[in-house]
Amino acid sequence: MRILYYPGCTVKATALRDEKASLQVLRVLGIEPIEVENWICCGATYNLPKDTVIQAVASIRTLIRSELTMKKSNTENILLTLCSMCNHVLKMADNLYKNDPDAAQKLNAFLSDEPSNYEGKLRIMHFLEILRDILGYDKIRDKVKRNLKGLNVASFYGCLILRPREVAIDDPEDPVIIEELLLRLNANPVDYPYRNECCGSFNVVSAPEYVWDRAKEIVKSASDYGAKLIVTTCPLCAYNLEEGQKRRRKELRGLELPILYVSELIAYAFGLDDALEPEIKNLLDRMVGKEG
Amino acid sequence: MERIGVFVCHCGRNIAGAVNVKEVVDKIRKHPLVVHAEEYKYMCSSVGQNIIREAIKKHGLTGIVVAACSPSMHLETFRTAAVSAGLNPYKVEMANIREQNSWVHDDVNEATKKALGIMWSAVNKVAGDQPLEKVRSSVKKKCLVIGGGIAGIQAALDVANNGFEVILVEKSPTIGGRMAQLSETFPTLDCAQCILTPKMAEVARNPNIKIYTLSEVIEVSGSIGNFKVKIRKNPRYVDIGACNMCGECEKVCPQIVLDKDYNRSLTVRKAIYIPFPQAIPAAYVIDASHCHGVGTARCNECAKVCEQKAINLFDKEEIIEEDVGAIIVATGYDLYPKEKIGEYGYGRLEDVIDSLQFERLISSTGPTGGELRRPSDGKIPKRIAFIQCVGSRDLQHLPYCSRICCMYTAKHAFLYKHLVPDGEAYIFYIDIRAAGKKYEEFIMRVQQEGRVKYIRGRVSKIVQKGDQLIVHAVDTITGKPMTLPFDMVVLATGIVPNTKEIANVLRIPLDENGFLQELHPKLAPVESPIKGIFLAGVAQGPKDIQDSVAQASAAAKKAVEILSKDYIEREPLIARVNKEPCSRCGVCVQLCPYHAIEMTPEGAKIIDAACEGCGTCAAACPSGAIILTNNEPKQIISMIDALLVQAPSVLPTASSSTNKE
Repeated sequence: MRILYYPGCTVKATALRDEKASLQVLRVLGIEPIEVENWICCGATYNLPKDTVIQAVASIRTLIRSELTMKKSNTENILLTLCSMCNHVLKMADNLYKNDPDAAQKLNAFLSDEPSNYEGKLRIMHFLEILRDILGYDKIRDKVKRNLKGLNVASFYGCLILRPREVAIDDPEDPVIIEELLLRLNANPVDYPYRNECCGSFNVVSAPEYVWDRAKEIVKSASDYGAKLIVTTCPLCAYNLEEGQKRRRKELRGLELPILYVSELIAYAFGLDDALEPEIKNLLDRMVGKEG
Repeated sequence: MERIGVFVCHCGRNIAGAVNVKEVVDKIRKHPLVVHAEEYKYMCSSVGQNIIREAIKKHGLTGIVVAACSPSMHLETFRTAAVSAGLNPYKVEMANIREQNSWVHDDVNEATKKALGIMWSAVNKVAGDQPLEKVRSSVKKKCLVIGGGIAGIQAALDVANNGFEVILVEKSPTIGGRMAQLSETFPTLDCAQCILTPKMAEVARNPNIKIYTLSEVIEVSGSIGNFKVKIRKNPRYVDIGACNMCGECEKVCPQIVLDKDYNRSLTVRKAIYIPFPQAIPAAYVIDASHCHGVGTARCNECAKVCEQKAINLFDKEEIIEEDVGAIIVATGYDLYPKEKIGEYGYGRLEDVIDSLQFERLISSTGPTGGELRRPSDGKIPKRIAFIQCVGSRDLQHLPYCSRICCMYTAKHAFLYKHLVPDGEAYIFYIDIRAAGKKYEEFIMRVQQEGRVKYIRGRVSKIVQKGDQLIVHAVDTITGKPMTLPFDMVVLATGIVPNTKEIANVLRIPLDENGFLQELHPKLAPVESPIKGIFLAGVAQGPKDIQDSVAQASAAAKKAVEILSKDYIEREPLIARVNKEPCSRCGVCVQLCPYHAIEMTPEGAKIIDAACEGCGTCAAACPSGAIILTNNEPKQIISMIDALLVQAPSVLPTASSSTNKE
């Protein structure tokens, strides 16, 4: 199955690890992601005021180009995203375009330099949604080569993958999509209260101390509940948690945890060693060895 | 030849502001059947009514049209006036030129044209109307009250004390309802049991009231004055008359069951039990879903020890039929389930409880004997948080305000401070709605005397941390997020009505939130849209005990009004069937909202007593076999003709009558 793939800026800059692992995992499962031609930034944040459409312009431009790539490369209408924020912003813009004819008209006027209007035919899906809804958990279990038995893994959802409700990939208050995956990998999901909290997000620019405190609370809570590892799917969450626990090392007193992408854990379980950075593979080797 | 009079009302400026009244009076005179037309400022005033009476006599009118407001406002006024001048009341029609015209249009020219069209068609209709007499039927001198909570109890007592028989149907094993679960009541802090149980006892000893517990109304047919009711009475397995409440059965019963109803899962009971000591009827009951002996006597430990021989493990359900003249619906409410609130733990955090659980925990008849101990480990909570508007005023859950939570939460916090004087109580609120007599004063008392901390802001999340609950909130007055530890959290979950089943049985519409729809939100708040059926308590809308009792008394009064009549007068404007063209297709039977049509081998048959004259069947009948009296096809055609041809023909062309006002 050939599907469209929208990487977004962060994935191509700081989350290359996620891209490498995710794409390899999908390929092993029979999905060929085709990168959208001439994609641009999704817009990074989606403003909520209703009297402007400017926040959706960049996203819709990318969606137009995605449809063009779809026709040219003859792919399915599924548009894969890896980053939580891109997933959120593209879906919000797509909803606006499809549900508000006035907004759609304005957006078309803004985007008259593109060869065609957005036709609204795309199905934007996050990596995890593709695993759950297109492939199904059973297919994932079939590919598992390494046993993660006994590995206590805390999932960290963050907020944008779950909010607002209209674009959430799962129940915002009680998500299970990552836990369900972990069970298929034979890992042991850790239920801790902060898994669907916000990491502080872009406040890292303006109020970094606040974000480091949040990261500390999240990591500490996961540790308290027995986690040995945190997995996430959002590059910004990963950065904030990683950096936050470094800055609050003294207060955490050894409770710091490795922060990985979900895709990396799946790739490890699938035995896709060339999809992983050597230090990640070594880390997981050590943990599984120790635990198992 | 008909002689029709037309009377046009100005309704002050309500009509005259948008309609050129003088012009329509002049023009309607051109109608061949109109022998008299005049206008007056307020036709509904006694002067106006006199004008009508005088004109009927003077001109020998055979029918009149009053062009004014909606017939639902003043048709009876004008009918009565016409009758006193010797006219048949069914020869009176109203042309609604206010609600359907002047109020919604501001172009005088167009509104005047439209008014004339409406009036012309009403004249055509009244010319074809048959003079009719009202139909009389007898009244069953008995009232059905559905629901045995405080509203049902009050309604039953009021009707019974007026000398009429009452059938009180209650789904659970005892009457008392939600109020029986409460500890104290706001704003006076009377003990709920102390003020409720005398009323329950009064119901029990009132010879006019017959109580059916464990019973549900499953079918209602007929109409005002003559309802036929079927009640399913589920087996109690204990003879109410014989049981002397000695309690020996309970001691030997081997089945321990979670008490989900009265004590809201905070404790256990046996499979044979009494809900609470003052239950009415005062008799044990067997919970068939947990008893191992029901129907088989495989276990009959209870029957063995019962000296009164009151236990019958082979008891069967009964279907009881009753004929009643009026029905009062008071089916009450449930709490919105805390299991639906994800941010507060989906009901999985043991020490996050709902408000009725808190009532049980502080009630002297509760599982802890009135000592406040938290469910998880029995510790006395030293720090407690109350969260208001849980589910209520939340578009993801209930859009409405549940009305009672601000007050009961204040009461909870106040009672908590009495039970745990060194404890700290916080209330998180959106705003305080204390609109009731002595309510605001009570809130002040709780804040000052009770030293309860009110934090204006919502709680975003509750998290278990060790044996404490961490509450994440925001104080919207200081704008600061806050994270506070508590030992226990009480959710003021909203209230949802218990109406789905009963609304189906009675065919009463529900509003968008599931409450029973009243006939008019302001002017008929206890009447249902079906005549003879009245509403009381939370089933109609969120309300506290005070308002429930007041509404119940109002509903009882409305019921007594019917029961005390010698006969019911019914409108003769009902449907009738022309047997010959009827093809027995059954469309009418399906569509009739009042179940007033039955299919017979000879064709459809209207049950006159049940027909409300809505006309749905007449409109739907594909062969035109059903006719609504005084809405004959030829009348309707003549009305359409009036609007499309006759009225426009006497109007000046648009250019000649510009708006000169």
